[in-house]
Amino acid sequence: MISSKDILLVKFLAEATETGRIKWESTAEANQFVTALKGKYKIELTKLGPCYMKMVDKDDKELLALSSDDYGQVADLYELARRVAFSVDDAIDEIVKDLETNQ
Amino acid sequence: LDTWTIIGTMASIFGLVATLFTLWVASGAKEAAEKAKEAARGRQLVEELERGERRIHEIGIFLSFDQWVLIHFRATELVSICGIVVARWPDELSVERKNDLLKAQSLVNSIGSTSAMAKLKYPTRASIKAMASTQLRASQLISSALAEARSKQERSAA
Repeated sequence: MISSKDILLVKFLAEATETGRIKWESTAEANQFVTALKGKYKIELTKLGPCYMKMVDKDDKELLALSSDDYGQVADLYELARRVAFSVDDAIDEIVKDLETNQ
Repeated sequence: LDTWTIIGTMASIFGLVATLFTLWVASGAKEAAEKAKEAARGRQLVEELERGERRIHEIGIFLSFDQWVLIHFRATELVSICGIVVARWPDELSVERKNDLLKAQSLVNSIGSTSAMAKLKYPTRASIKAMASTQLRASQLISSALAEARSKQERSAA
């Protein structure tokens, strides 16, 4: 069952991702992104149909596992992480800037 | 009697001075020993990260020769190195560099998992490309931690 703390964490991650305080990395596995926090915790987002979020400590002990079925915002967080990892917004800015200068 | 009192007083003062000098030398020796211990820890950290850097470069070489078993072997070792560094030297690296190492650990772990599957089913071109770009990013993250550890070691040696 999802707790209020879990919701707080997802919201914090989404906000920190949007403001650029958290950098996500895409892994060698398809549809998977990771980040690390406080030098101790890792967050892993995976899309396998639904989106899954897993938090582990530095010893790889699983502390938290959530899915977008439990809390829909996990899917939004996955999409934000994907955009950051692949620099989607930068690419859009580059295209728009180029189009504006050519008009 | 006065002569003996003077001699006794002087001997006491000399004893006190000798004791203070011994304490001063001992505290200096302790400080030097602590500095040497700290320098040794810094050196060990740099050596461990250099070993990690060699392993990630080897993964890159093995990737270009499709050596899946060797990639898996090296990835397993490197995942362990990243974990050891973060656990054994928690105060020697900044939070940002420890985050980098934890991210590198996950990236290398994903390379290891993908290469383990390659024994059963040959990976697609896209999958090989993903492994190669992941290897490069993991290499950058490990190098940034190594640079900070070297810089700290150089500062403490100066």
